[in-house]
Amino acid sequence: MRETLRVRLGWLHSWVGFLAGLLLVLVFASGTLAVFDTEITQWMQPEVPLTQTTLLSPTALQAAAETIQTEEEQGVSAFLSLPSHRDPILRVLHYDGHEFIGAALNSTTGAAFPTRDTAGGQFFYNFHFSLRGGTQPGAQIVTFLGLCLLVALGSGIIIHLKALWPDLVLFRPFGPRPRAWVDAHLIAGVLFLPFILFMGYTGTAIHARLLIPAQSFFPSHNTALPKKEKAPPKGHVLQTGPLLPPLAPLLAQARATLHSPDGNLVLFTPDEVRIFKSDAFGPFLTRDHVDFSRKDGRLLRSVTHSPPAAATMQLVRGLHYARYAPLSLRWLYFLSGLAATALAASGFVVFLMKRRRSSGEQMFFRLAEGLTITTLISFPIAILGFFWANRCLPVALHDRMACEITLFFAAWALCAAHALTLSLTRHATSGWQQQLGLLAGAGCALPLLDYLSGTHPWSHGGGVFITTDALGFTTGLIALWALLKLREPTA
Amino acid sequence: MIMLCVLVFWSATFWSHEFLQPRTYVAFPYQTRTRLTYRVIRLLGPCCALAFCLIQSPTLGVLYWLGLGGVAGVGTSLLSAGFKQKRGLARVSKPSR
Repeated sequence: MRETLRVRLGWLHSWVGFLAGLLLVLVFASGTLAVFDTEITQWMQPEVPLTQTTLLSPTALQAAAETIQTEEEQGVSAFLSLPSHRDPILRVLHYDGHEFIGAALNSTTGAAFPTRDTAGGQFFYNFHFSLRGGTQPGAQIVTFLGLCLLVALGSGIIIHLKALWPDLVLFRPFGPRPRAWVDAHLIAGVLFLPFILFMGYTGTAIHARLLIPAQSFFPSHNTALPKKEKAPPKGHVLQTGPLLPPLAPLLAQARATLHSPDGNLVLFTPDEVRIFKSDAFGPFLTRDHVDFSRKDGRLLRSVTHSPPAAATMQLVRGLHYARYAPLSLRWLYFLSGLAATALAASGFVVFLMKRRRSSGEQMFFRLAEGLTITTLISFPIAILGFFWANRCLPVALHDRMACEITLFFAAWALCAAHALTLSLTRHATSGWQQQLGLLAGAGCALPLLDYLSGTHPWSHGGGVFITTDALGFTTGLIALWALLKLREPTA
Repeated sequence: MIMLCVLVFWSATFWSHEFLQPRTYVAFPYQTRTRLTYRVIRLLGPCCALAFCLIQSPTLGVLYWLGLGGVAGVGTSLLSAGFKQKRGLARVSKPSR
């Protein structure tokens, strides 16, 4: 009976894991990069010096207010992201339907930096939670995938329960190849299980309403719905508010109330100026805020307490977004994200290895292998292509951000076509090898490209550039190692 | 520094755990006293690591503890595999029952 259960759960684990995993691995990889979204944006905007302080001058705030006013006149709803230790830049941002983008200002003089137009790390953040498909169906699909992840994890734990404790750190890379891949799958899954479980759970819980809405999916004809007020599309305003009051005294008052000395967000409505607590102060994403009148700057209200149910969701969001996390903890999030990606990747390999002979390499098997190459190798190539595009495209190019994103998807589509063609024509090994070679080249040459671009000094604030280049280089080395292993005669 | 200590505690725990498994102690026989030491390390290692993490950060300590545990586990499994390979025991998987 128990064995029957294990066999059935094994089937469930394999198929849910593989089918959902094809997209989940993209969510894992982009989420891992999104842990450092701010730093990626800094790498992609090398014109902005990272040696500034978090201190804000009234001149800079005034310049920011003028930029806000100008953007509102153009129908764009902009807000301020104030300098923090992580991102010591005063930013005037707006939502473009996918990312929060906008001007970067000097926090002392208020002068705008001549930055290149890029989606930066926000691209990966958006891709992570919606696959760039918006709330519907993008975020809905990702939330459903989160459920599939929980099913695959649950079934995986039950299958492996007997050996969970004795095989906790068992790894046999020098044993038979299938055994080594299963071990790798188990090690990544078991050792990082708490992280993967809580990220899967919190990620699903954040957008659970998209799957189980409070209202019916189907509109009822019996009850008349109350008419909604006309709301502007996200990131836009219908009417411009009056001129903004001086922001410096409002900010000082709000910071004292919120106990949040830097990194605040400042939002503007036609009637109010809302100053929010920084997300960096604790795991609760509280959204505590102090509101002022936009006309005369008088204090309207302060919201600093949340009911228990709201506080629980704030904790769920805070733990998932990790904006509170200091650098060391963010690295642990990053490594755990890599482990989740490795878990999915090794699972794919095991899935294919098990079925290669029994399937006789029929059409569906070849399609599965092609899709596996598309997600495991082509996607990282596209990511590196995005980084390359950032350095190679001219700074003054019209609609540069869209070009970068188009190049990302073009690179991915080309690689996918290549992988599927070779795989369907029974040349999957060549597909793996050629794409690994491309990935190795793109990764290993990234530091050289960054150096030759000469876009930034290395002596001041170069840590972000060195680390990003080093990670690109490491990706290239891993791909090269995998390529050499594949070329070994036993492969 | 504290993170390094936590990593060491976790690594010692995983190392001891691996050496307490039948497949390993059959291959590397050791005395009963050593076995007891491994048991103590396996028991106390995670507790000490947790204590260090909570001292470092009472609110975020558990997250550090779990994250560093995972990293130490992967490191130990690689080291242990390399160690067994060096001793020519890489293909030893589980003792026959």
